[in-house]
Amino acid sequence: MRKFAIILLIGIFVTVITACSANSDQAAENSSGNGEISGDLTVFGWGGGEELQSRKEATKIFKKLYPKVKVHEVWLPADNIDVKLDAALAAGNAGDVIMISPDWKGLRSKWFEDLNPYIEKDQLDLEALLTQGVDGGYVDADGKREGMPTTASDFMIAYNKDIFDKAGLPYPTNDWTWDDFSATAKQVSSGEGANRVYGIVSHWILQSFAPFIYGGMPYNEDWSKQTLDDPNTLKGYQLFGDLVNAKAMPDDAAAKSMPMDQMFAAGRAAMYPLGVFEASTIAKNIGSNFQWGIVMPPKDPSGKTVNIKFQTGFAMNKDSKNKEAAWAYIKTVSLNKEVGDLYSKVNLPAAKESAESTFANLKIEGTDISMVDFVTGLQDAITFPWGGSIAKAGDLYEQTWQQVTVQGKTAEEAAKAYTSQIQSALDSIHQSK
Amino acid sequence: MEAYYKSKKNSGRIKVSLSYVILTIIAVVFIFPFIWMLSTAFKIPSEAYTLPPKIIPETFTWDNFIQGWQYADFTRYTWNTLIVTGLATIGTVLSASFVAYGFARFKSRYSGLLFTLVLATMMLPSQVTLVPTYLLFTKLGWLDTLMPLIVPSFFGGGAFNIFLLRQFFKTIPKDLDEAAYIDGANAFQIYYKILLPAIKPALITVGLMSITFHWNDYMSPLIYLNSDQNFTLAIGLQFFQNSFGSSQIQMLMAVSLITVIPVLILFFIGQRYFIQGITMTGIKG
Repeated sequence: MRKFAIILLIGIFVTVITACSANSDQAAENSSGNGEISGDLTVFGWGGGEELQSRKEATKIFKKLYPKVKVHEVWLPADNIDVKLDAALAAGNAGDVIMISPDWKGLRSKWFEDLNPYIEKDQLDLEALLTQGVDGGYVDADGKREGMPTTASDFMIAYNKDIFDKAGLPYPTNDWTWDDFSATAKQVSSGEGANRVYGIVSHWILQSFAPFIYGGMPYNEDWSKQTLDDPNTLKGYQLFGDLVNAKAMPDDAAAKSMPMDQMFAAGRAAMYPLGVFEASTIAKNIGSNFQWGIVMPPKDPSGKTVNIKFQTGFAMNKDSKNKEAAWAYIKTVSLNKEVGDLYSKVNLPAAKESAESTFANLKIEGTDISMVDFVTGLQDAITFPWGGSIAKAGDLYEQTWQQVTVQGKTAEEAAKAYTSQIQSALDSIHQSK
Repeated sequence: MEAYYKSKKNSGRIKVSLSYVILTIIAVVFIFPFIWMLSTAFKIPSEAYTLPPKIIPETFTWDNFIQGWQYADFTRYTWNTLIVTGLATIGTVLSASFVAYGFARFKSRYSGLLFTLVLATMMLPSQVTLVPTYLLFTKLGWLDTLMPLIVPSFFGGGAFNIFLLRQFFKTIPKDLDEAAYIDGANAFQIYYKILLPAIKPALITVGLMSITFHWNDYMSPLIYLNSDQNFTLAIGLQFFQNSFGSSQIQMLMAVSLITVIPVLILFFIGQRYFIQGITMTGIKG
């Protein structure tokens, strides 16, 4: 039996290896142009899929514009990239330009060059050049600019029109509130067991929306005090706990039965918080299964649409030996129209001209759904609240969320158990500064 | 009396049967994720998430393997992983057994202290040594080469492996060494010709653990490698996951299956020695 198993496994392995062939992209880059800047430049970034491909293509555009600069690219998977970056920065070989997010823990440290003098030298009017909302978080309290944005992503609520029609409900509109959202999610839910159709999927981003939806906050502006126990914050968490209790949102077991994007694409959930980065994938998965649309996330009681954004940009390594080329690269991948148009295929570009023309005119692949709402949605969106330095406290907020949506505790009970731990985590951030 | 023995025999049979039933259930629970991976790898996308899950695909396809493999240069990644795993394992087995031999057979005033120091390195979090090690390899010009993934294995082979092999060496009577000395063998010949063959199960155990570790290692390649041409399978797989997440689970499972098969084959081949190696370690401390 063991011999048979070994032979079978060897057979599968050999067959598969033989059947497959490598496909490496080694297209030569022929540059042309008259750039004055020259020398070596190392670009350090991470990611995957089409987004990474667009970053590589953007580098090709840079090479065309600055043919005398020899670019070395280091692209790695995102998981645990902080560990690599910590070591590389300490060793002084992290590259001249480094991909960053405004919430990354490495910011507000000694590693990065202040970009203000470069912006002033080139007389750049960033307000006129950058998409509204894309730039938040790159400038420190003391005015030091640590990075320039390249892309961002915010969220819309995608909804299954067929499920709404079946429930006899009107489609949501951009002026809906979170109370409307909650009521709608409950009304469109139907069925039992494996055939249950949920109002909203149990998406990982909802935890980030929760504290803000009734005007609350998870912590104050300088991260010195937790505000989880604020009544408005608690109300936000409780809304999602109530949705799980009403079976309008999958409980833990149901959520683990299949990925949430698949659940929506399979018509087993009426609504899905859709990020720009995943729009085309979700559209492909839905195919012609059902009719669908998107709407802005609901408004908080003050009438402000609540949205969360993820931003990506580039910073200049203070140890760079070719700062001129490094700035040229950062400027190109942030503000160049051709690059912005390229990014538009997968994300919301930082270059305003591209965002408001190319991106806004795009439709989600294979649909007639316009992308323009994503541009509007970015304006007031809140930077992802759990990244970078706040991640340790973020783990505790995650546990609070689990208490409410998995363990069935009330938001008040969960907050009682976690507020002091969260406060300690926030205190430790300030102590380690 | 006969009835008593008959009833005892029956009760014994029931106990054995019950044990087998329980063991079978546990085995099924443990093997289910692998079976699911195997089954999903051959499914078309629409079948990957059907509820309840189907173990045997309705439409059987090889496309997941072909498309998944073509997504990146997995052939090169496999080759790099084979080089790293092969050489690092040779280094681990040789150097760990050499150091363990020293600790097991040669006593000095500081042997105990030195051995404690070796064991203490297991307590050291990897974060503590990361930056100095990275700096060292940068200075040596080894960054973005396979050297940092291979060469350290030739310098000690890891505290746990040294401990494991030392325990094994200590189970072998010293009379063997003494007989060899009388016959004119030196210390190295005793190590190489007498003791190493005697601890084959332990060497295979250490080898298998080293293979599994280096084959699956993600952190070291991530930290020391920069170029696509040097990447290992673990990095390739992570890129794949970053790119598709769970949306192409059937392709991810197909590529994962290919990467896990060599380790499985080795485990099947060496499991007898592996179990023997682990169980015998506790004989003498």
